[in-house]
Amino acid sequence: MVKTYRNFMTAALLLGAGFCGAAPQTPAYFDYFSSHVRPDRYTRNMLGIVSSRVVDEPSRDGGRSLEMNIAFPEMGQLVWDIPVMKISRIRFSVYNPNPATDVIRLSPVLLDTADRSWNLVKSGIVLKSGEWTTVDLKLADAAEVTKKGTATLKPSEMKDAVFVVMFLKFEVGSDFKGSGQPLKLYLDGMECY
Amino acid sequence: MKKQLQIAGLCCGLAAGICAAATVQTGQEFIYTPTPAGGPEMVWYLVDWGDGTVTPTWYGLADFSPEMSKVWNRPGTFKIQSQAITVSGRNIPLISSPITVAGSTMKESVPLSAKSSDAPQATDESRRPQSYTIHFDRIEAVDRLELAKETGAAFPDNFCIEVSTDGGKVWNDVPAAAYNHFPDPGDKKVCIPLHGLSASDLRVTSYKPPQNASGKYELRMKEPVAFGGGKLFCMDADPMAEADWNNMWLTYGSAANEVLHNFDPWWPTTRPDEGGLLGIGSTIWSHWNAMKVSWLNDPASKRYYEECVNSYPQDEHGLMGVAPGTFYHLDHSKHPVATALFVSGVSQWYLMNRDPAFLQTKDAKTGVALIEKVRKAMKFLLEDMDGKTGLLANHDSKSDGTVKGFGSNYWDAWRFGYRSAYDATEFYISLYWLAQLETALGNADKAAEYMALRPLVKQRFNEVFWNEETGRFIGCEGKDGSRHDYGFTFVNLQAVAAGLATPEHAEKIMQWLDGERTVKGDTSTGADIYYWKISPRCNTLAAEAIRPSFWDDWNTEVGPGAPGEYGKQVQNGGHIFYVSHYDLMSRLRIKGTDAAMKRMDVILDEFHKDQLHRKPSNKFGITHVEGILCEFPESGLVPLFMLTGVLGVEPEAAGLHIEPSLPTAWSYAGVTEYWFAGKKYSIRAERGLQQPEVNGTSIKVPAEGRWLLKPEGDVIKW
Repeated sequence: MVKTYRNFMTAALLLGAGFCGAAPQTPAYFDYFSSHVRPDRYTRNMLGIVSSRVVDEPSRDGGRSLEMNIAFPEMGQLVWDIPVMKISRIRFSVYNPNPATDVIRLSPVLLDTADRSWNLVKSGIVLKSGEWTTVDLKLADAAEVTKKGTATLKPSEMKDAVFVVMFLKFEVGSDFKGSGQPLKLYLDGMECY
Repeated sequence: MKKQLQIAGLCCGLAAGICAAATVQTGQEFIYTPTPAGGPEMVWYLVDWGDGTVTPTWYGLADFSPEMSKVWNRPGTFKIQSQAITVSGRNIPLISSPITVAGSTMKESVPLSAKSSDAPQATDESRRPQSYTIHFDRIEAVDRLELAKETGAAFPDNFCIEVSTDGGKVWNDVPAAAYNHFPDPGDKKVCIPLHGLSASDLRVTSYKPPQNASGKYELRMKEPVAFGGGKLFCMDADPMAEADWNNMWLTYGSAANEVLHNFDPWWPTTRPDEGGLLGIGSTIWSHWNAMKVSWLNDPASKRYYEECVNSYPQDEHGLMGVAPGTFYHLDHSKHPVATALFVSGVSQWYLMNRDPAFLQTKDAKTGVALIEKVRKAMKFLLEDMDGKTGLLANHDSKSDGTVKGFGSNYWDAWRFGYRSAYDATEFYISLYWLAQLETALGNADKAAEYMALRPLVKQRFNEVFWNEETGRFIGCEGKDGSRHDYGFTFVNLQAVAAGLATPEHAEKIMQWLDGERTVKGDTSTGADIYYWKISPRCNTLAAEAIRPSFWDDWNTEVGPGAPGEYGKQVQNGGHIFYVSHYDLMSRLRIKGTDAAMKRMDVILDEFHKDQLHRKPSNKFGITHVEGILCEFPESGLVPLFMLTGVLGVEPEAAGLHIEPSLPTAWSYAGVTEYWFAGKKYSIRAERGLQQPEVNGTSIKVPAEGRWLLKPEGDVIKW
């Protein structure tokens, strides 16, 4: 199924030269849940996340947030699909209204176009009870980068990573007492740089 | 008349800017394809036409670039300069191309009459969305929106265009008109193509407005200006419904305002930008593609369709492959039914366009003319698949229609094979289409032979596939005599729409679907059959309800807690939107137009909420729950109901028949651009008209009766 102009495009691609300027300082990608666009176009609820919706409160700086209902102890996993892009840092905040006795941890993982998993933290980030936890991570500081079937990759093997999916994994320990009714967590948008 | 700047683009690549200038006339549409940027990231393109205007595109894979359209209003020599912007914000300047525009200066377009909202207020909140809204005096079909920078204010680097058809109560985004890292346009106008988008209101929204000199966040620009076009479908229904109907076609028919990652409406776009699509170049889609595309003014897509159909492989018996280069669907199984779809698609395509050269084009590999491939395909259906007995049979031993067989049609998770009601319906349809084609080619005997077989096919269909116990057609009878009835709504509705069901059977099927009777043992009954609202669940008995199941786990396992659990999978309790086309056509046939419109009203109401850009996932992250977007271009058949149902327009041997079925509340309905036999027509059905009126290529016919537009342009009673 090859169109003639596709051949032309390929020829032009091979011959044409491109110049890449410096990346801007504004976020390469952001979403503050302010748009009416249904989040199921780019987010997917998985495993313990039994439902989600966009809400006005709590939120920050005039945006809105994604309320997630998570039926722990099963891990809740929010999958966020992004257009294929180069990024070097992600930033977002999570509000945890639950009691401090129920410790919830968050592990962000990014997947690149070479099927490599970028585990950004070594052990999950503890979400502070009753307040926002801001997560601001540089990919260069990733705890571990692995490829299915391979050992941990060295930094020199990770050049030019281009990302397609972000996974936010919410987990609890074996001593977690809040099982039963789903708990709420709030995600306040996403910024990628 | 379109002209493409292919030479300039290629030349520049070779010789670093030494280009032969192209020449166009003022007022002439010019098609320009920027050089693809290349690179791993997605990009969007921004083309500066050299006349003080720039046009942005949506973003897609950097190995491709779009065909862009431009009309110059004044003569001169202009330098077309394009750049690609990666989604992370890197600018890639591309080659420039000079162009000479000849002819006289043309009148500038007049903007649509509209009221603008006040400029948004500056705020301290960085994430507070800000918008400029323009409200039209009436619902308009908008071709483009022009934006311009206000002196002294920062142009937003991120913004999108949003549309309302109800005066601003419900807003939807225009997927292809959303930008991040938009460069400062300086004093140039930013022209955003909207392709006839129907709107009561449009707004330009920035979700992260720029900071002004005092550090506050503020969206400032000159008042947006909109320019109009013509609406495609017209009717005296509620203007909002008319607008939504047109926008549904724009979304799922032409896909003109959708994000297309390959910058091509024939290639599916993946998450997060899945949307409507024009077509898919597989044999399995060959008839649907013909239905959607054959009447359009889209030379590139028409060329593509014609190249595609003649590159499908055919074996020595006449069996068609499923796509260029392969007989196997996803390397899994053959689809003999694609042979019937190929016959119907090519026949309908020819009858619409009437280009004899098309039928004589030679297969690139075998040198066989297309018409010969079509005839050989029918021979395969009649002889190798027993079609001449009235009962089609798939003799591929892999697809034997048992609980161990492989699927063999579009619904590839089900083990359709051997005697399949789905295949039989397509065979019945293909007999009609080839009969029409042979009649048009002067082969009346052959045509009569095909038409004479249809009553036998219908009789055998009702005898073999009817299930007296459930009051509906089964999906398939296996070679071992097993009969598989999972309440396949898509099988039943297509059979009714095709006229295969007897009146008694059709009536019973509609009673089941409408919940007027319950089928004992079904998983879904009553109103739950339309749980998805816009179309029925594809099956009303869960695949997992019977073990061993007729369901093939080759890509998804079914059962409680499994990824393919009933209601969580597109082919098992989920739905695929296209089925609604056959639902509407069935209701039209059995219950009349008003009953069909009642269903269409539900669909329009749902479309109004979110343009059906729906893609929920199940708990495994699998988004194959609803089949509307991405690889489902057949969603466009639903708004096509305006042509196939309401106007009753379809080509046949003698010409284009028009058999309107206007809803009681309407006094007219029409289509403003319909290409038949190489000519552009507008066709309108009106109540109160006694005789057809022909004014050039503007056709009006009475709303009652059956009319024929001949290829020469005459209209007669038919």
